[in-house]
Amino acid sequence: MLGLLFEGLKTTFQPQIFFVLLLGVAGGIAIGALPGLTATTGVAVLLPLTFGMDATAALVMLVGVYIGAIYGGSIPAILLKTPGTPAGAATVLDGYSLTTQGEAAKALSMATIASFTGGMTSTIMLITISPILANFALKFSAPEYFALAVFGLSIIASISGTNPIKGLLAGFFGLFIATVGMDPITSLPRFTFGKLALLNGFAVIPVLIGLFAVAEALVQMEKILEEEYAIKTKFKKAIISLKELIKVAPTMLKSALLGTFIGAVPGAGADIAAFTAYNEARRSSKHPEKFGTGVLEGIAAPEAANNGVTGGALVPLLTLGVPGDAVAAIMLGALIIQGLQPGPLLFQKNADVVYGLFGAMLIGNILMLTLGLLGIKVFGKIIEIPKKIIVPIIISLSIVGAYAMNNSIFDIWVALAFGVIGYIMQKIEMPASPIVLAIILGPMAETNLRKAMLMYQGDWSFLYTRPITVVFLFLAVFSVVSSYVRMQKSIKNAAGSEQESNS
Amino acid sequence: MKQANIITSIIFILFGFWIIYASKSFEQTFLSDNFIGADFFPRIMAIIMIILAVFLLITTFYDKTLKDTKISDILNKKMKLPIAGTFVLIVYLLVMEFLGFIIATIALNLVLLLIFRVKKLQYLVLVPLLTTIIIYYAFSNFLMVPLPQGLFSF
Repeated sequence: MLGLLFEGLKTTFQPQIFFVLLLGVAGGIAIGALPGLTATTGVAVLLPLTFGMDATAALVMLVGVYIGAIYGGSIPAILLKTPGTPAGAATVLDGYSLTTQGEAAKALSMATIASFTGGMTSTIMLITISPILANFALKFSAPEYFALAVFGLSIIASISGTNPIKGLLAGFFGLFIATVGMDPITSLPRFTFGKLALLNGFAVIPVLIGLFAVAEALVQMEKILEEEYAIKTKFKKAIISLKELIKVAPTMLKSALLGTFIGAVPGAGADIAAFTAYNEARRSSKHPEKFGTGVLEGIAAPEAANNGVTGGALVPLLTLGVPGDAVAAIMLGALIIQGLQPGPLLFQKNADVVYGLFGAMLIGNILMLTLGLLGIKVFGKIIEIPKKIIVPIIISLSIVGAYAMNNSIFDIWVALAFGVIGYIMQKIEMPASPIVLAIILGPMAETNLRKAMLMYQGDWSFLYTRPITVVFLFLAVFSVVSSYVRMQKSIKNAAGSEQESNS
Repeated sequence: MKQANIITSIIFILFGFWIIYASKSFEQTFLSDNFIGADFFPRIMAIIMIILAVFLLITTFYDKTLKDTKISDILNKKMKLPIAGTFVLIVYLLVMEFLGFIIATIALNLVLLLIFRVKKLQYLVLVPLLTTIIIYYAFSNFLMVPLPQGLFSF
């Protein structure tokens, strides 16, 4: 394995690969730093640029954007009190407090180092765990994959914010989208209305670009006329000292591992990781009351955790072919475009690509650290680019991105339609990420269910006679039920506190 | 959110029934080893969708914590620009095949900047030109994606 990893590192240092990685990380930081543009949007918008690259370069660039964007979200969180990405929201609490005290440089350097620690830790975990997991997953056949896909889909309930039912409905809408086109087993056309363009179904990329980039552009338009610029804050040049760094190191490591774990659970992403780690750091702190007033742990914990997700989210993607979050789902799309089948066989058939990716993640995190520390003074400038300029650029990139996959104008219409759908969904507080997971996992569930039925000659017994299948199906039921119970609890708590405040 | 939730559930219930109805037309193939047909998965999916939507409807009535926001509070004046933007994009897509990518996209960017009330001349000139030309160059030369040329080819 070390030999393969060394080869991977060597690949990363090839000039063109290194260049796309640098471009990806720098572009990712800029995208993450622009409020409103998330890592998902960034990866979706930049994905079309990778169509012409070879598989390694394409994945390296996307993973660079991912690493950069998750980190970049902390910059406006600290400087403007506006998180660039949902994952950066927890960083606002202590990060902005430090900025008001004139310690923005300290806060930014803390966030950079914590993000680096999180990214590195999770990459190392990814490199050590995933080959073992992939080896295990090699034993899976159709029934197991069906159960795994159902488990992945069940996770939708737990990532759906306040109302899991709405998230599940969005997921089922995604499942419907996935069934449009030719049926995977018999090639019978479904829901195509006789339209030739729909025979192959909705292409995933235009749908993603619509839901995440076009919809975001439409949302940004709402407030574009009243856009204001934050007053520039003066800041001292002092960055974090070695003594302070040593003090927060345990929090950083713990949060990094927590983030890796949360990232590896399919469906749970960087935002959940950041808040969980923040709460855990506060809970276990000796001075929890100081959190929110500008303590370094309050920056270190969420930043280490959200970058910890980057490696974690790739574990199920590479080993099982199940995306860990929305970004991983897009990367799965990228793998398929490159003609690679994500899953355990990837480690045998395309070890060069996998280890190239690992190498790039190690180097990418170092690049992020370097750019982050060097850029502290420049960041103020990036976040001042007005949205009025950004929105037309996002829209132009979305158009070409949707078009480029199949050279089809129909796909741009698809992206626009899903942009409008995504915009309406935001209005009615229905999450869009479940649609992506469903589009990817739906065909996996259906195809494997039908293959399993063929294997068992029409007998359903595979659902309860195969241990791994049973475990996944049990986990699926557990995940839906537990998120529903959690919702009921939070409703009760909210109702209770309302009554208290009324009385 | 109450009204919005009710409307959402009704839409999904209708949608579910439509899926079941539409899936009736999937003729079964006569492959002997085809145990569950093309209509099985969509139909199960639609049934669960209807159940979930009914569930959402019921819980919405019982959930007292939901804010009593009216649908009119959600669909308000703020949507003026997004609607205008969507309209501009529809027109853009309709004319792109005639005008070609370059002219259409420069116009699109310019119109968007104007409806965002950008007044600085340098932005109005530079943003549409640079965006379009960089994208065109990158996609047609670097990535070999043939973008629509339109009537006026370059």
